[in-house]
Amino acid sequence: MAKNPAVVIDIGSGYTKMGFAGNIEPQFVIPTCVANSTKKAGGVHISQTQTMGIADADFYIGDEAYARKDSMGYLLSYPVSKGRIEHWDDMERYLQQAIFRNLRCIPEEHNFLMTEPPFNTPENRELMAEMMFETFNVNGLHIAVQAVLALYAQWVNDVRIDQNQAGASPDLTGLVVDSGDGQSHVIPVADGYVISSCIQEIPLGGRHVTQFVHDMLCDRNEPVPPEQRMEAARQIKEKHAYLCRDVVEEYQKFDQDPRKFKTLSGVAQKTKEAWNIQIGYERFLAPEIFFHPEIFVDSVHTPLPQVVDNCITQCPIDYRRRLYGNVVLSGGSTTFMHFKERLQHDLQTVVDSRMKQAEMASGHPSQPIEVCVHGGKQRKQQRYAAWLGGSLFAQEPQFLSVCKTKREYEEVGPSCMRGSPVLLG
Amino acid sequence: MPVSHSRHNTSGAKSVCGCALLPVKTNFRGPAPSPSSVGLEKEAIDIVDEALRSFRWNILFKNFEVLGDADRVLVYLTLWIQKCLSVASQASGLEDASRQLEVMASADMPGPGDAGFVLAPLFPSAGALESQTAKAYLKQIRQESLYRLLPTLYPGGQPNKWWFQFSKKKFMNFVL
Repeated sequence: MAKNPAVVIDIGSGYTKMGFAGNIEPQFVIPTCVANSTKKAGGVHISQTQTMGIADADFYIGDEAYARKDSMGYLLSYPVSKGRIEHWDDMERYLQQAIFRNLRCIPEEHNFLMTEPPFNTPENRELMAEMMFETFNVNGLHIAVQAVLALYAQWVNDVRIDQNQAGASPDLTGLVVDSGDGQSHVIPVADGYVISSCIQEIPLGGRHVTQFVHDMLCDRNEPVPPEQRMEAARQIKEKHAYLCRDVVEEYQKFDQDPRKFKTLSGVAQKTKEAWNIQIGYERFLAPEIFFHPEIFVDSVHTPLPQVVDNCITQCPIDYRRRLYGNVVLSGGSTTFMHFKERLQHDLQTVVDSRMKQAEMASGHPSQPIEVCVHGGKQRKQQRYAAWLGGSLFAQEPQFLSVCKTKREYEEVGPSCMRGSPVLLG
Repeated sequence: MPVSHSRHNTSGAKSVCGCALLPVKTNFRGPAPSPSSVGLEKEAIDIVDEALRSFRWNILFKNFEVLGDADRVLVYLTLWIQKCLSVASQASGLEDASRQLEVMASADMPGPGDAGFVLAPLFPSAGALESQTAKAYLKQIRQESLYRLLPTLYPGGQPNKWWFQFSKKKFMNFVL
């Protein structure tokens, strides 16, 4: 079995990342959505139907499912919400196509590494084990926490490769800022254990940044067809958005330098007319919603650096300095240009001002806290940090020791997946 | 960087009704001291410049903490610029907009101490004489900011969409 690389699947609410261990980026990143045929009576479990062949099963996943969004015969289902799998039947169909058609592997011959969100329940882990072992008959399975994998990827890149310490054991203490499509999490990890009680959630993510750009395009009456406006906003966000040091100054720079304004063009789907729009202040304002949520929504007030600081001050006191020193970014919405520098700068400011207050109150000078924010060397590494961590970890010999095998599953049952072993523990 | 506050909060200028009487580079007549009388350079950024510069950022905020007397003037000017934008966006062009706005700027709008003043909760009440001075001062900076704003709003006679996109926003949920 050791010959075949493990399969790493990171299921997210927006996209599912999958590929073989040892690669630097996932081979497939496809939307987590299933289009079920409405012709069949309700959702029939795959194991109950005799149609195991893919050609017979009338459903589509990922982009093909999106393409059938408006078609009458299909109903779209999003099996994962807020990082957790909610519809197991749909997830099973999804994975069936993903494994057999996209990855084209035989599950019996591979070990699988799946990821789970920070608040996953033991019951969900059991269900996952049941599905993987019984439906897909995988050789072995391990479920790891996304945040820990992101930390692991960071550690491998920085310590083991840069500082060339091949034999070092990983220091899995750090704070993961994970910002996905729907929401963001701040997750403290101490020696490989997630400190669940201190996890902070911010209901802002990539989709809100897109919405902000969309709203600004609307306000300016840019000549883009309404049905394509969201897509245009997404492109603007991905290609042109960045964070600046001083917003008021940045406005002056735009006034003085017309080259800062960009353009985007496309063709209307229905009329086939070309459109061309200008891109302006949304370039630096849109990612700003993480640092000033009130410019976008009324309900959220705390800026991201403040949330990070609140999170760390709730953690066990012995770990706080180490957490400040190892803030790791993960997820697509953290890949805006200068996001890392901005978070580092703002967080340092928050910490310094608090330290100053403490000094004033106690009268004793205290040792300054050094904040250090890490990101991947490339955007892709940071965007798929959890998957990359899984890919690196699944290559290690330790992976085989934590991996539950088919035989163990048959002896103990699904409850063998209940416990969550510490990575490399 | 948070919402932009005025740098003149600590200038020590005389204040009436909670408004700092800051020097303004202007030819409009009113109670504002002239910059040369207090020894300011010609290039110095006055409160009107400050309001125009920070407008496109501050307009996005719903909350603004008044830290000093100059901030009250900044709030007033931000709302006034917003008012200018919303009036101009309804107007047919540069000439129509400037005519309507000049009438508004030089008219007697409600000010501190008046019943119809929307910012009454922000401004401390004072005597009738002070209220008169404050209103005259606000009128003067209204006229001056409009004078500086119009070329920006209509560069080359055409409406500037990079400014007009903010015409529907509401600073602190107030409208003058």
